[in-house]
Amino acid sequence: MLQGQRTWIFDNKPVILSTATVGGPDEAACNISKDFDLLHDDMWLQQSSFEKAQTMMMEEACDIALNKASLKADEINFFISGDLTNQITPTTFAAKTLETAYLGLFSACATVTQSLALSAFLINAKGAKYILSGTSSHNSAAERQFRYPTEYGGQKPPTSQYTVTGAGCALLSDSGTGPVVTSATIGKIVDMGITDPFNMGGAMAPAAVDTIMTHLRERKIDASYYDLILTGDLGEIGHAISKEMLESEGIKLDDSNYKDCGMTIYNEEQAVNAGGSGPACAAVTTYGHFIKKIQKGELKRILLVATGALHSPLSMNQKDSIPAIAHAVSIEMGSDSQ
Amino acid sequence: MAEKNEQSPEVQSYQKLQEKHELKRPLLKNCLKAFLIGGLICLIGQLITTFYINFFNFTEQTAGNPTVATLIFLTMLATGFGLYDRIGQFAGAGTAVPVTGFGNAVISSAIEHRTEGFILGVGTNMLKLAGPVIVYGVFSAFVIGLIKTIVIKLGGL
Amino acid sequence: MTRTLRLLSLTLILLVLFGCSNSGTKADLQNVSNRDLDQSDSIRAKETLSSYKETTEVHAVNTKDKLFVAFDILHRNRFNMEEIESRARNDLKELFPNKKIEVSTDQKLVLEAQKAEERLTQKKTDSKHNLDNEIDNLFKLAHKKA
Repeated sequence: MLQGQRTWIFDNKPVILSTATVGGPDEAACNISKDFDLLHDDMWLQQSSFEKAQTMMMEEACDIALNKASLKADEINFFISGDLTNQITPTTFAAKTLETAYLGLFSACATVTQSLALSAFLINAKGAKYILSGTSSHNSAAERQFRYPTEYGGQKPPTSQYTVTGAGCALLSDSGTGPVVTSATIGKIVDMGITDPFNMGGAMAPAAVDTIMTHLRERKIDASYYDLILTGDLGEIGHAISKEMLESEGIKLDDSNYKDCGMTIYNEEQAVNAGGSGPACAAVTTYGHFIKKIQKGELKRILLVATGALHSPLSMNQKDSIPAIAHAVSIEMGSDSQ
Repeated sequence: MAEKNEQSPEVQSYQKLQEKHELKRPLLKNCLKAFLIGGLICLIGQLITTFYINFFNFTEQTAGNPTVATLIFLTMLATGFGLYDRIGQFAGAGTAVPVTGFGNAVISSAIEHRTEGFILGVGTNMLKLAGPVIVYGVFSAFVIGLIKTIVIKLGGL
Repeated sequence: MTRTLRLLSLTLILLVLFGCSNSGTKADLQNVSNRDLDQSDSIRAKETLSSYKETTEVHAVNTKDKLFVAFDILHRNRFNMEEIESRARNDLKELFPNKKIEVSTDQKLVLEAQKAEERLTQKKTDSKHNLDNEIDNLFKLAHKKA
């Protein structure tokens, strides 16, 4: 049901039956490594290219999610997913292996919530029974496309972020036990003229704030409704900026109820500058770490606001600024959500 | 794209807020690190030159070429083993400016595009980062040569 | 300060001190007994060049019609090296108008000239023919251009 201009309320409460997360070597050493289902010690996964490795991780995540829910790939109605690489080919090749109906998406690092929102809507509208919703990214593939070759000795500034190598996906259904998706707000492009591709946080913070404010207003709740508002990959700088912007709008949040996946995922010894990023960042942190907290009852309601920077290497060279977007999805505990 | 002064006040105020939070690059520290590491690389180069002069039949004039070749070879090893980018993150310009930086740019691009084949992958993309150096280096040498010739002809130097 | 930082700064200070030190005394002259291989011209050339305030060491060998001189200068004068070299060449040309003269400041040639001097004093070079060849080699080395 539509509420307001761009918020959906899911009365039929689509259920997240299972989730799966896969990570690479840096993720094996990270803060939340115990919450991963599968970790690899090699960036190549014994494949002949980084892109193939990324495809492999997406396939593995889907397999694990299916196994956990005791379902098979041919029972899935739709596979809704995307990634950062040109023409989202790694995801497409994973879809080829799954042999499921496929809707490819591009929202850069906001793909996880774009996918979750659309998947929940389809299930809520009885347009599907089972949907696999997820995303993936690979550090080397992203660096090669957007910045410099992996082994290039250029110095990254302290505002830059580190693309997560991994894949995360959720299996949604119209019935069953598990956390439920209760609402979603679709973001609009917010562009504040930032042109520095090494400062994604600064570019994306206004989009996150815009979506959070819209969501709270249209769902007619205030921030205290949620135990946790979780942004995707604003990083240290974007997080600080968004906190200040929200405060100036009268929403005071602190470290206990306002976190960022990019800052949560890596620990301080890992040289990630301002934090993690990439579509997989929000996906693995939410579908691994935070979903477990909901399942255990430690968190009852969270709002996941994944943020994406929708520029391309070409637009950068043509001196365009970075347009950003943020999609929000609320996930709440099974039985006692409103 | 709108010029800085054509941007709306909302955008301008955001940019100010953003700049307040932006982690500034530690300029002085970076300069010092670049100076030390860059100097270290040049010291290694001098050691190699002295080695070639004393143990082989090179003069100061002719030892330049094998020195550069040796440095590039060492860069190749460092890049291939994943060391050069770590040193580069520390040293910044210190590793980028010497010839080793040029070597690293070419070598890392070549390694990266191996998966696309040798001709369209490695061959095309190898000079992706180093291309501007070559193009503008040759071009400026041409311009300077032209200027020098004209000045000499006019009896200047 | 941490241990590594202290060690590093100590090493750096030592390197700077060693690097900036004055590299040594003026050239040492030598005598060769064989009259065929008389080096008095070289000795005169060395005296002339030693009188420059920039010179740190000089080595020279000669035959009746050829003279090869290699010398090194103080580090701080390296900026004017070309000018000092041409001054040396002119002075030597005045001294020995009938000789073919080659002057060099290249490190390699200083090394090789020193070795040639030693071979003469140790009588390893014992004939005019050998000495002539050696000087020809030095001339060739000086003209190598990469």
